[in-house]
Amino acid sequence: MDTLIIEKIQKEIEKFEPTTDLEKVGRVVRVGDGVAEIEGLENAVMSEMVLFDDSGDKSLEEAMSSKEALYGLVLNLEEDAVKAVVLGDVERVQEGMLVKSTGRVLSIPVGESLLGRVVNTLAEPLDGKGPIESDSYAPIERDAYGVIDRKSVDTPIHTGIKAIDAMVPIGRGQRELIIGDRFTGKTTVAIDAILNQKNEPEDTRPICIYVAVGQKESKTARIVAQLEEAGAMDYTVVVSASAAAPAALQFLAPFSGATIGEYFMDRGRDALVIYDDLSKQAVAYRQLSLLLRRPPGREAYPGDIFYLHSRLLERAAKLSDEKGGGSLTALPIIETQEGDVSSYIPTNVISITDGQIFLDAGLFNKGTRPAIDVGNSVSRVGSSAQTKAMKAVGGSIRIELAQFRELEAFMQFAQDLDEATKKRIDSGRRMAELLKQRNGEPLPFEKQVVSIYAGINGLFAGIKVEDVTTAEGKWLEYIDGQHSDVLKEIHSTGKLEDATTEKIDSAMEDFKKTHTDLFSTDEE
Amino acid sequence: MPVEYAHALSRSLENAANSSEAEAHVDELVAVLKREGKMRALPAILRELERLQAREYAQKPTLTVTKESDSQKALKELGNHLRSVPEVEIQTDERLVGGWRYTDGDTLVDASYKTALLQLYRRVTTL
Repeated sequence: MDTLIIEKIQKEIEKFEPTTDLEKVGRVVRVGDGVAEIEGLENAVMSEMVLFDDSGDKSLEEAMSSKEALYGLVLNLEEDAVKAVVLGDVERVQEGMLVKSTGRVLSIPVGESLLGRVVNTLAEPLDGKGPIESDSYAPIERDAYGVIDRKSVDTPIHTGIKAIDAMVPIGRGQRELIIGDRFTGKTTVAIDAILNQKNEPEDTRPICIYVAVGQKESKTARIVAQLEEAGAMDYTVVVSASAAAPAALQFLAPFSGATIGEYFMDRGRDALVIYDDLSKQAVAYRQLSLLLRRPPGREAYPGDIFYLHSRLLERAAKLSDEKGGGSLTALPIIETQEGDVSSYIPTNVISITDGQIFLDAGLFNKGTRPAIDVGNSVSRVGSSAQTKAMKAVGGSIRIELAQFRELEAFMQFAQDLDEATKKRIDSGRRMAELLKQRNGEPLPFEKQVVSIYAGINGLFAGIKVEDVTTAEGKWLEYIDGQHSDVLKEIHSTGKLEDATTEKIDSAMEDFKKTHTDLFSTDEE
Repeated sequence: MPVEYAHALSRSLENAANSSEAEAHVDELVAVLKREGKMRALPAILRELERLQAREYAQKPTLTVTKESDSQKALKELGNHLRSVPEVEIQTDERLVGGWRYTDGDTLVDASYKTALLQLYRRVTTL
């Protein structure tokens, strides 16, 4: 055995002092469905952690071989009893078991040691890479920063997805909802946003936290593998409360994610937290509330379901310079049924967030991916969260696309179209094709600028619609190879100066001459 | 429903002056159940009553030691923790390994070797 470990153990034994203080305890009188009813604990407070002492009826050897300490969270303070949700294997809890008060609210370890790790709601490791060593603990429930401590959102966070960064830009400290039916690419948008942070310089790169609530473990494993392969796990923490986890852990997981992000925000850094998804968190909270006999409201959700999401999302903020200037950006995900954004939970969360990215199943099935419905998507922060370069090229796209969608519908009925309309439809088709993007391939913002600039200035006008994506790839390769100074300029200044646009125009001309095979007669 | 009846009967029995009054309370309960056609609830009421009695018993001041001969020393040490030591029931449990353990309703003082060793073990195994 390693002598270092032996020395550590010896030191622990030497400084160990068993505690024999008077403790306030309760006893479990009823347990079922993850909720334990406890008699006693008169001084218990709301959200206090309690410890279930399952060593009482066991010998020392049996107690040592059982698993880690089992905690509960007090959620109901009633006249004669306290109800606590069991944060672990409820089968270990028995009637008559002693329950000890810990005197502290639920806290988790936070810090740099969590980076690259996959943990559960209580920040216990799930990846088999050893224990999490941390000196800092933070409560998972915390008041959000007040108005005075905040600053306006003014710095973009780039997702690497052209359609979003150009038309629905997200800023650091914003809450932008990703909403859509199942299998419309919501998680893909979120993961691409994490992957794209690799393109940010290390000193300004946000720490990413992906919270998987009620997801299949296979899906979470696939996401972790994708992040590891791309080298994104170095700056990412994954918090997982899978579908097999108790409802209490599923309901608390997003709060743990926010707590981990706040550690970095409080130290002047930027963090991005993705809640995938809050619909499942709402369902878990509904289950718990019904088991705690709280009165059900609309759709059987408890009366404070709005507060559940509002207090979580309010913790995202852009802090003032006096507070360090850090930020926590939130990308909550909500799953709709049959595209119904007017149902209870979606409308709640839409009213809380600073905008939404609506993913349409119809667009997805037609092959438009990411399937962003531009008409229903908005960013309330808007161009304040865009670089000047992106603002210059992105301004007109939204209107053009919206007009194209209307004309596309009109086209199905009209037979003879005037030239101007045909031209607009043609341009719109190419723009829509240009905005398509493969998943897992986020683009740095300077390449997005150059790509969209080329699109709105007619580079792809002479190309068949179905070849636009290929042509765009070749254009970016060309710019990267022959005119990388243009990309560096846009990246460092964030602006599109006149001199830069002249270089791009010249590059476009050269590109057309050297890639004549791409430019053929367009088909209607 | 059986829980409420059991709690009500338990409170009545506590206030009963003698055994005949206690029997009268039980007869009244049976009469009420017969009248309302709820005699089937009687076994559940009895189970809940047993549970309540077990709970009450657990709430009595209890001092657990590993062997009888340790009880005097344990009582003396207990006096250091409580303002006044109530009348306790002494129980033995070898699984404590050594030391003693006192419970009284919602109060616990645990000076057993088992708990101390378990704390040390958990601390060392998280290194």
